[in-house]
Amino acid sequence: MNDASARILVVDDEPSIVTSLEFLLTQAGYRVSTAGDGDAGLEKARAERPDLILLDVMMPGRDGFEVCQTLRADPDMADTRIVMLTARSRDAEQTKGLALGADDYITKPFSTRALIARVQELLAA
Amino acid sequence: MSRRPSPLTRAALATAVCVAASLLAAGLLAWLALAPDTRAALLADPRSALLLLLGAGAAAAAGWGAWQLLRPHIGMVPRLVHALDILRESNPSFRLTREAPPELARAINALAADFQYRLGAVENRIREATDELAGERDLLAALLAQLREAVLVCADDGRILLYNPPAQQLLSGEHAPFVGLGRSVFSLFRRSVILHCLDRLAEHDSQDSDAAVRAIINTRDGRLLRARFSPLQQGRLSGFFLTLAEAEGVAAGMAQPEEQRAEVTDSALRHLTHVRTAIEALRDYPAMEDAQRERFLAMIDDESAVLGNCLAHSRQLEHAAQQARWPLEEIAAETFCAVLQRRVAAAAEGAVSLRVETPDDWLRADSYAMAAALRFVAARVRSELDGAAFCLRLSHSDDHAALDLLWSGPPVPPARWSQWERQPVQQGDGALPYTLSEIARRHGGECWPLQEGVAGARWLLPLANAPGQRAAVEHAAGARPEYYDFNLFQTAPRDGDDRRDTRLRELICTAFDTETTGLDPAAGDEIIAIGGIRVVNGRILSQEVFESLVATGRPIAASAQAVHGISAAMLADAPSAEQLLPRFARFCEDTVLLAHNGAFDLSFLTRQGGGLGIDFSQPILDTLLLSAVLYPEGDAHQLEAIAERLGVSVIGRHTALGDAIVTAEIFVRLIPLLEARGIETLGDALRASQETWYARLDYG
Repeated sequence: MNDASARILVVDDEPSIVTSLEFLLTQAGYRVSTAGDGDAGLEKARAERPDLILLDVMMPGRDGFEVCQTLRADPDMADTRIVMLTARSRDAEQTKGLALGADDYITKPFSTRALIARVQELLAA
Repeated sequence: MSRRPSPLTRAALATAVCVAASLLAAGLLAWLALAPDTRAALLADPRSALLLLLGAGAAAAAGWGAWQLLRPHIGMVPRLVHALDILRESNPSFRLTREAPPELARAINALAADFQYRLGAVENRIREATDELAGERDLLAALLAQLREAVLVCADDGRILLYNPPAQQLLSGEHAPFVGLGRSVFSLFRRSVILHCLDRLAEHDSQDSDAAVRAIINTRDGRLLRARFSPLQQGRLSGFFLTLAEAEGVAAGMAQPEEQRAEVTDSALRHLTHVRTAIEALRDYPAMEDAQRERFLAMIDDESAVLGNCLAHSRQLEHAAQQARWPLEEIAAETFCAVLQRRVAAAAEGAVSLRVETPDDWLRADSYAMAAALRFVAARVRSELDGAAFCLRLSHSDDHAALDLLWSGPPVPPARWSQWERQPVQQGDGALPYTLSEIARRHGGECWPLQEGVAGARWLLPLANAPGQRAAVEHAAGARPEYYDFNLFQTAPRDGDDRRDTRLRELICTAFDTETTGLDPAAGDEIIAIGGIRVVNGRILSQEVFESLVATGRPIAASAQAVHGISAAMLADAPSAEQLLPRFARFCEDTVLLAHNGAFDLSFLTRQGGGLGIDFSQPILDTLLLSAVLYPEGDAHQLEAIAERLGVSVIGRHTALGDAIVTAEIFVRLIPLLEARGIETLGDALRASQETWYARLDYG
């Protein structure tokens, strides 16, 4: 599949980051959809089958870990890359995220350039 | 020999005289009653002489008979007195047999039996009370040792009457003054600060039992400590109570944690302001030059990066503060798992198996909270998922320890886990107000349900280094340390000449011994080892010891080395005399020195110390001389011989500290023997020592 038309789903409850990421990812040529919480995120993920999901950890209701676990429990989602975003930076959380099936883990504050580079890497692989 | 005849003899004479006198009187009366011609007839009759003889014989027999009757009763009194003396003073089990008539003997023996019984009962009671007291003392000592706070109890004049091991550790140091019973607290801290705090304390209402003064005080070797003074008035005791703690973060120039956090927040706000300023400029002046725009954008970039750092720093400080509020203990992996296994088994109502893959690990964990967390999950798994046959597994995962709770049954659905995570972990009695995730985070770790069909949950826990050796407080081997002596309250210290009036059993002494390169200080022989131990109020303080080798440039004589076994190689890392003698002088300052053949050791100390400006002019008691005072005829005055005679076990002979300890033990045992000879005070002992002829030997 052409890298440039890859679909990315951004799941985060903070509008600022959603706005920024949507803008930047669209500029980089991806098709972007968004969700404001875990439940909406799961629905959209199943409906749209994105190639990569940017998943915030700290969300009310279902948190990012739960969403990740649930997605990974679904064999149809096996090819979807999941990148977790969070302000917490401890090793243990990263280990947890990766253990639950995430492909990568990025801590806030992050440089969006670096994020997009990482996204490109993961989609190319 | 007394000129007065014994009572027995007197009684015998008296009886004889009585009998003779009465017979004579009877004979005389009879003679006088007879008519003159009867008298003449009797005199002429030869049978009258025989009659007279018979009469005399009968009289003698009567006298003897009377004597036999009387004698037991006469002699009885001194015998009884003697027997009763024996009974009372040396042998309560003595019983009378023939010293008195049977009834009297029975009565006295009954009294003796009663006396012996009561004596025994009193002794038992004393022994019980002493044991009880000793038991309470041991308990007090054990409690003191368990206190983590450093504690000192001082008399009004600053003498230390009680301290505990944390105090000794906190205040010890290479250049630090010594902590010890009878030493002055003013030698540990700056006098002015202590006096100031005591003044403030005095201002409090004497009835106010909460009165306390807190301060930061300086030790004499320049450290800062938090101190809390409170008054101590208990019966005859009058003084103050001092607790000490490290002053964390109060090192010079370093701000307190709260101040640090405030500083970081202020800094963050400053940087945020710069960002906002730049943004406002960009918005208000959309037509500004590109270069200027670039500068503002760069400012936003940089300042916000710094802002990020500030907040990361703030989080670190918060984490550190949390560590203090909710401390984790270091615990060996095996112990930790064993504890958890028991607690979980109770909740799971069945055995829990254990697999510890990394038994040598040490963890930092709150075992109580973790046990509660595991029990919670196990109980939920049992009731909601019908899980059973639990297993605990401990392994490694990168830099953490991984603790897994496994079971047979279905794994936890993610939604369910989220629910569980958010509930407080223990309900009802003893509720822990923490959730699973909070407990996991407190351990710097996380917890989550395992994936890929494995039914279980994992906790990541931080690893710790195996605890290093805590700096051991030096101890004389095998003795129970003594950390308090309240008798010091009653004995005021004496200075100068007054000190000679101090009783020997109330002295504060330093028993010491040295090992040297050879026997001739004048020829340049030097000290290569010093050992010392403190004796206070007749008690040897096993935890107040001084022991060190001393480096020297002088070669060690082979004969000396054969005795003490110290070679030049062993002295390679030892401090020099310049470094060590001042410390030793501080160890034994204001005490009486105690040594065996002290003239020898003292000659080295004064020679080497004098060169360094140290004055070893304390009075010195010599156990060699004191032994000679008591047993002038004896010729065995070697340390071992005297020790054996007094029942002191000699271990570690020919090490400086070992010999010092033996000297101290000998001294303590000599004290009652000297007192029995009338040598009670220091002055008496010094005088007596000088008079013995050994003192004539001079070691120059």
